[in-house]
Amino acid sequence: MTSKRIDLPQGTLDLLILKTLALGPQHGWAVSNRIQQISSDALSVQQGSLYPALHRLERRGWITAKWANTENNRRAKYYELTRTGQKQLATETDSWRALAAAVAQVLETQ
Amino acid sequence: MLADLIYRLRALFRKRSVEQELDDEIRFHVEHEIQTLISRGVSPDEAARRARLAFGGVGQMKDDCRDARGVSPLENAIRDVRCAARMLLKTPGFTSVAVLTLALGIGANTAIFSAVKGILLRPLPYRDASQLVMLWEENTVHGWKHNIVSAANFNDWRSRNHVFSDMAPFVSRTYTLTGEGEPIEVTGEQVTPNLFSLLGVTPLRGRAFTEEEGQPGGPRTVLLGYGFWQARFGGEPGVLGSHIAINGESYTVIGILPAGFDGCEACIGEHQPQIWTSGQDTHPAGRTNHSLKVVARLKPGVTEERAQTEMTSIAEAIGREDPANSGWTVKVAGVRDDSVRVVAPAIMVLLGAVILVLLVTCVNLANILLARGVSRQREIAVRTAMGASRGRVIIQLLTENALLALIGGGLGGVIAFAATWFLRAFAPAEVTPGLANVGLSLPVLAYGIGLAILTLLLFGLAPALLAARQDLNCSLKQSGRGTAGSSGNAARGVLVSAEFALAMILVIGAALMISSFARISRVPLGFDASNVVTMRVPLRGSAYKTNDRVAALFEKLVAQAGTLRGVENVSVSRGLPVDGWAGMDFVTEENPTPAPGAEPDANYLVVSPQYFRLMRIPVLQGRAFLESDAHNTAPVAIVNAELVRELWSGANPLGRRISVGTGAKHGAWLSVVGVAGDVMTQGQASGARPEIYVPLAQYPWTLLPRHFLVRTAPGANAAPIIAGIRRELARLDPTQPISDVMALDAVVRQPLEVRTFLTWLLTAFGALALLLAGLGVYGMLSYAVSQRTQEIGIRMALGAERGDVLTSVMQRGVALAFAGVAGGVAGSFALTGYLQSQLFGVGPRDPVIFTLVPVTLLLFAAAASYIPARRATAVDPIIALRCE
Repeated sequence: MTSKRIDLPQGTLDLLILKTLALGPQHGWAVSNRIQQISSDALSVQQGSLYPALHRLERRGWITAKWANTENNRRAKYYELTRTGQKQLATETDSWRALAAAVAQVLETQ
Repeated sequence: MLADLIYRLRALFRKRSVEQELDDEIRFHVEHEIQTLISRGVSPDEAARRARLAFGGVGQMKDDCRDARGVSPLENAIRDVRCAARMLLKTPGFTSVAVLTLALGIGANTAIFSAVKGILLRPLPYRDASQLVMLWEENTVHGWKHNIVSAANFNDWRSRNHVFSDMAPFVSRTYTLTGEGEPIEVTGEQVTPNLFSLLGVTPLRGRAFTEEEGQPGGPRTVLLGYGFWQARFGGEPGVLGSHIAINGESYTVIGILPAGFDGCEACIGEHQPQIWTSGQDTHPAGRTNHSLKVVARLKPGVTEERAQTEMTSIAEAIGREDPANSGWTVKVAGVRDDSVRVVAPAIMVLLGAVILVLLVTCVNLANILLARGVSRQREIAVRTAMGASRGRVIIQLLTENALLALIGGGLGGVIAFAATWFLRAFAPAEVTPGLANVGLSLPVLAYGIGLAILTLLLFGLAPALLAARQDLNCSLKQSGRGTAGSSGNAARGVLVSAEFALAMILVIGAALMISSFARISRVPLGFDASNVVTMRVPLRGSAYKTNDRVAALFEKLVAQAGTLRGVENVSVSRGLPVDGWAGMDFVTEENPTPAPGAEPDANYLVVSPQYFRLMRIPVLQGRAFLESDAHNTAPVAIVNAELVRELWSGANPLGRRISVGTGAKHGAWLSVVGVAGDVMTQGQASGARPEIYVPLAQYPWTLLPRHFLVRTAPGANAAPIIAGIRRELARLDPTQPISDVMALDAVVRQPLEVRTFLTWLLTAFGALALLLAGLGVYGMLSYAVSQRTQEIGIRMALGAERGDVLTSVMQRGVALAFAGVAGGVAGSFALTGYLQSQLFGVGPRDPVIFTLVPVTLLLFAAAASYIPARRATAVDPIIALRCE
């Protein structure tokens, strides 16, 4: 299992969080869980990076947080994408795609 | 942007709830994880373990979150200050020594530098003061400096020079003011009308003198100083145009001078004039009668040096033309330099001393900071191991030092404030112009604190740098109780030596001053100043135009005062001992026409018959004056022993005849009837000078008595006697004032004031430096001993005697002190020359002092080393070894 894990490149965690939250408000645990699930366990988010990242995004105004009850009726802090967050997601997705394509092109050159 | 700000502010001000939220969030995450794991069939204990493991270090993460929130710089700063305060409180010994060192260093320096700034750089109340110079005569034959100028010379200077745009002579004098209330004596200046335009001063109200008012016999007018106008006339503008009685004549008040203008006297550092007159009394003419002070303004572009060159050649030319002027030359001195010439050498010495104090302060700070740094290396290593970045550690140390600097600087400001007050209250005001206005200078204080901060940063950061250089593991393993010999200790040794060197220079300086003071105090005055009250009784006005009238009133007053209870002797005198020299040329019968410029001269005193008994001046040969020496008997004089030595090589002077004055203008021939003992009339530092006494009753032809002296019976109260004399004078002539009532003791002490003050300050500085040096060696050895406890324990277990341990510790202290003292001797050798002008009877490299002081310092160092050395011998080997 560990062998398949990929260390996240610098800056990609923010993008993944934004993308995850674009699907709907989530608390921290769910964000981390979801990233892991969607990537088929290839990407694992360390809590030590996740929460500072959430706080950083909140400070930048890309996401907001509010306390709400979970389905199990427990209070949790839910993060939600803001309007600027959505724009940011779009820009970052574009630049990620451009970067990935460029890197791929370089790597595939024989 | 706004979101960011609101977020930060919320994080900052609602820090507790934000932190709480973070905790809740983390707890939720962990619990949720546990629930999830349990639901997958993991046992609760195992689930909790895994969840916690998966989450990782909570502390680190929380820190990262705080960083992410972006408020940590400020938050950290607050935490750092709190932490710094705690650290400082935890080591009260270090903190108090550091703060005290800082405060004393900053305080002393700020006070002295402020005073120097206030005195040497004070704004002068003249336009373009840098162009103003005083002109003095100097006699190269007699070595007289700063002599007042003769009228003939002044006139020649004015007509021949090309360097001054204007020149003005003035005379410092006093006036008797009568009218409302008691008659008073006021100080003033008699000036020429061009003086005020020369100085660039315009009256606040009214006008300055006109040309006509400057002529002899012109209208009698007076200008009032601002302070005098306020004090005497309550600042009433109506005084303009009114008439006041001065010396029995009516003068019209034509103007008030602006506040802050303290006349020309201020620019030469003498008494403050309160009123100004012009023209009325003509200046004595002639080449040899020196009576004027002269101020001049340099033409634009002319330097003092050029003026000096030209004036010197003019004086030489006058000397060639008129032999009476041979030996006399001119001194050109800028008014600013001239005003502080009495105190400037003392101030420079003080400045040097206080800079040394500052250096000792900095070295001492560096020393204790290094010690602290070494002992904190381990703590810092622990912090680094716990994940503190090097930057954080440095910031933490910076905060501590900044806090120290702030406290020390603040306290230093308080000390500086107190010291400034002390300087104003106790510094010799009469010779220190501008002293009254000396205040704490904020730029100087800022400079002092800045310097302290620099020292703190430089040496306070040493532990951080050391820690950064060192291997973490090594620092942690080092128990802090190993053997001595780290690089920090070597550096401290150098610093301790440096402290001793600096202290040595200061103590030698202080010792030289104290020795001079002791010597000067032991010089016999030649008279007994105790129980003598002096006062000025300047008889002025039309009733006293002739000498016989002056003599008549004084004789009545002497007789009346003699009947007062508690009075032993009464006399008048022209000039008081140690105050005022009235040098008069004179001739002898053997040599009635000496070569011009080679006339003997002597201090000229006019006294009553009881003078010698009153002053307890012994009459060595012949007799004192008698009541029978009157205006109708043969004129007599008494000379002092010094005059007999100089003039007649000690031969019997009785019966010889002398005459005061020179050439055709000398007075009557006076028979020498007695020889009086030498008196230090010019102060103890100047030695005895030739003196001639003449009796008042024989109506001396020049210079009238102004002083009245009373010897009271021991234990008698002077106040009723003074009141009695005032009453008697008022009865004899109600228009005459009495002023300057002083004990002769105090008059005698005056010339020593600068010396006394400087001696005290230098002694204080020396003691301070020595104390700091002592603390330095003590602190260093104490630390070394505590570091070496284990080593000492082993040595003792292996058979070292307590005596050996004691010597080995003390040796280090004394060796460091010795190195410092050796350096200090060399430094003193180079520096004490600057003290020369302040010394008396002792050379700047006095071998006794240069031996005694180093020995004393070494003993002091040994004493300071003894305490930690004693502690070392008290080490119990068993305990020291078990400590590990």
